[in-house]
Amino acid sequence: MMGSSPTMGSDNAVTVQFDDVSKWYPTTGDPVHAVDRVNLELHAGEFVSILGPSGCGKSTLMLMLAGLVPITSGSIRVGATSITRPYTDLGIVFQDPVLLDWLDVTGNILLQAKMRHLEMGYARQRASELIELVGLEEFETSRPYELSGGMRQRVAICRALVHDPPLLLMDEPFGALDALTRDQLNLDLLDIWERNRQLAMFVTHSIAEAVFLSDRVVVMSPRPGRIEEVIDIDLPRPRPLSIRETPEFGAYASRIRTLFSELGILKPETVEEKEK
Amino acid sequence: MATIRNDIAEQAAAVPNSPATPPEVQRQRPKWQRLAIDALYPTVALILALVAWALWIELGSVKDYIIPGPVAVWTEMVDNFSFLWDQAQVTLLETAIGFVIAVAAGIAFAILIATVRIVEKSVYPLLVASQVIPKVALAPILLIQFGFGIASKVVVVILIAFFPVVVNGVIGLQSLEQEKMYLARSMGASGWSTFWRIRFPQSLPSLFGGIKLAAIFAIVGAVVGEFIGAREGLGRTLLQAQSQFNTELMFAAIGYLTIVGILFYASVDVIERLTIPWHISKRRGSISS
Repeated sequence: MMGSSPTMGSDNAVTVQFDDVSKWYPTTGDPVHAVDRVNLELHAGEFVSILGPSGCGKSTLMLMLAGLVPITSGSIRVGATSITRPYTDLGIVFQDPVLLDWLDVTGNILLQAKMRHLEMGYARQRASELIELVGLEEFETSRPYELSGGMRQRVAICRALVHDPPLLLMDEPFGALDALTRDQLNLDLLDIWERNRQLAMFVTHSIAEAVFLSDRVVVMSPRPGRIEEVIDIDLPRPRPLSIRETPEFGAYASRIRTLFSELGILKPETVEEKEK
Repeated sequence: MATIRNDIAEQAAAVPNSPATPPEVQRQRPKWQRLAIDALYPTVALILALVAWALWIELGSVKDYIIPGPVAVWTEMVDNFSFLWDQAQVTLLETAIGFVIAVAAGIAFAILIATVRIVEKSVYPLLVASQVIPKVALAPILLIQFGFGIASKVVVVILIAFFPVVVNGVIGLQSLEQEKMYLARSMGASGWSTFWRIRFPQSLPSLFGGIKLAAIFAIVGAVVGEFIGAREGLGRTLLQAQSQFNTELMFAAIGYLTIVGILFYASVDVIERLTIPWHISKRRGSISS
């Protein structure tokens, strides 16, 4: 069922409000406390990263926002809508590209439009624009198994954007890619995002990635996941990869690293190795 | 994106000894040649096995009326072609009808079990438990119900071929990753379109695994059905030849059963290739970096 109206060309001025959001997962023993009283506001058009180690509930937070995982207590609102069931006015990219083997690149991207019963003529046009933007023109008719990991994730990004959603959610989308491909996709993602500036929520455990991409970085601590600090990243856009060598960038990364050390997530002597 | 790629290209170009023209590298053989070479190995192995069989009968102590040599079997197959081919067609017909019904019913049951929770909870365990009943043991009863004609054999085939289709179908339909479910729900997809656009196509490789098993089981079912009681068919011929101690005819019948089996399995294989080419190519090996 359509949870909300089709969103083609809808305005991008959506905001998200987390109010005292907590999550317990039921188990056979004691319930697991995954997210602890998160209060957070995401503003229209900003790029926000949720940064934390594995098990800090950052993916759960995103899934609750999408209405895919029930909220135990508290509330999440997107615009005026209170999330109680799957929220469809968005695009999602998961760590796994989740492509369908029997569809080619275009088919996988258009799945989004088909499921939403959108006007296919426009969707096709938008799909080929996006395909060109991520440099996959020559692979429009390739099947997923013919693509590299980075190319697959590009397709997943196109699929998440083909219906021009006002909200883009990404759950460690580049976590499984090698470092070079990851850098490239960070650049590509910013390039696409800067054209429309939808509200983007990006879940990651990489400090460098979070600082490079975001307007704000939400630092979370694990078990139960709670927000430790929200850091504004005041770096100019568009951002080239070389911005990572600037002292400003280094200061942000170092501040977050220190925070993780204080939380006991990074032990002082292993800081250099773990930071990527 | 261009910056990084150019960097890499420039570095490669800057290596002093990088050759401008590719060195003499042996070309890959064309596909048909590789297929022919692939086919050569089992063919040679088969010929060697037949020669070993012939020598064993020729030089060994086995009497050729107990086990005939390959040449005698081949002669019998050729001499009795019209009779044995008629019998083969009967067996093939029983197998095919039973198989098609088993596959259709199997898919329907698999969908029902995978989509309706109460059916899964109630019917599926019974279905699995019922598999301990040796279907072959039901054949004498089926003979009474359905007579000596083709019907009783078809029913045995259905009973024996149905189960692998259901089980593999259910496994395929239930093996949808959590993230695909999330994706479909985030798209606002109805249960119906999630099923037909994602779940069902996704289940096809597993379902075809079951269908191929069913194809092999189906021939077993037809032959066993004919053993119990039949007027025609290769199974019937086999039993008749046994009562006359005609081992050459028995081996010839088995030869034709083998041909029927290969034809049947090969046609299922072709249907699989046409239905899920994406899976076949994927199995062949994917490129990824």
